[in-house]
Amino acid sequence: MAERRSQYEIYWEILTFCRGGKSFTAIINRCNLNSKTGQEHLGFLTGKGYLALVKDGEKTTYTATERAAEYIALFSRLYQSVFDQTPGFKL
Amino acid sequence: MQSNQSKAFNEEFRSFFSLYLVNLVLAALTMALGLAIVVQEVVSPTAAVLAPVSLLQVIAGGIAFVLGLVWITATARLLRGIRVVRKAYRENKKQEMSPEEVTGMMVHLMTQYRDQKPLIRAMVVICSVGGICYLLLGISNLISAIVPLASGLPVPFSAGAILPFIAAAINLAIGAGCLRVSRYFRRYAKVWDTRLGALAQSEGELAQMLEKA
Repeated sequence: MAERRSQYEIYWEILTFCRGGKSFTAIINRCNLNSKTGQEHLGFLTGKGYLALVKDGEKTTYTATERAAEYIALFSRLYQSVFDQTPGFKL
Repeated sequence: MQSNQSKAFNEEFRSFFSLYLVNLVLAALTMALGLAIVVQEVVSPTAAVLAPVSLLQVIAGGIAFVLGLVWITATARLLRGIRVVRKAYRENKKQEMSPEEVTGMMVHLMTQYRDQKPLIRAMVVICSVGGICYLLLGISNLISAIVPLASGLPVPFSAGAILPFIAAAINLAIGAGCLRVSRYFRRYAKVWDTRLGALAQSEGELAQMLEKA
């Protein structure tokens, strides 16, 4: 999803992907981010407490926190509510 | 997919995909018709020197060919844009889709629409122009079929006398199809613009949540 995404959509994608704990490289690859923007987004989400940094020896992973679940739930609710209106044609 | 929301999304996506396919068929027909007109006029045994009317037909055929080509290219770009969602849709048809997966597809379609907005607007115009051209062609076929009958002279029943009616019916049907597709694209764009507007408003809620943390 490298198209015109809003920052909220990027946050949602990162947070849903990081549920099981993911490395920086895996996140930027999966979410189609470059290193610089990836660092910015992850820095922001970590700073706000949506992601937790877990260090296991030399390996560092990002894991979504409970707060992230609230964001994901709100995001899904908002998206699903805008899809209530349909174009009203069937082919 | 179990919930009503998921079913509605499923149906909506299927309809959009079908709309793109119908659009592709109409574009291909336009291109083929344009090419057929050009070839018929140029290869015709009487075309040693192109008469003014034939020249006009060659130009009209050429324009139809180019229009069809542009139309096909634009439709192919639209189809390419939704291929990821299409793949997910086909995979998830085999199993239940979680609400999160549905949201993921919605996000993807939303980003696609932001990207393809100018193309969809162009499609509304292209389909309308194509539809009007086909309708005009159908009407001209109909006139050329009716004029001999209306002249009062006895017209022998032959395949040649019926062909203009068949051509008129085909062209009018394709023209009506093009206009219908254009209308559907307009409705599609209207709903998606409303969705983008609603999302822009609700983004405030997300921003508030992020700031609160």
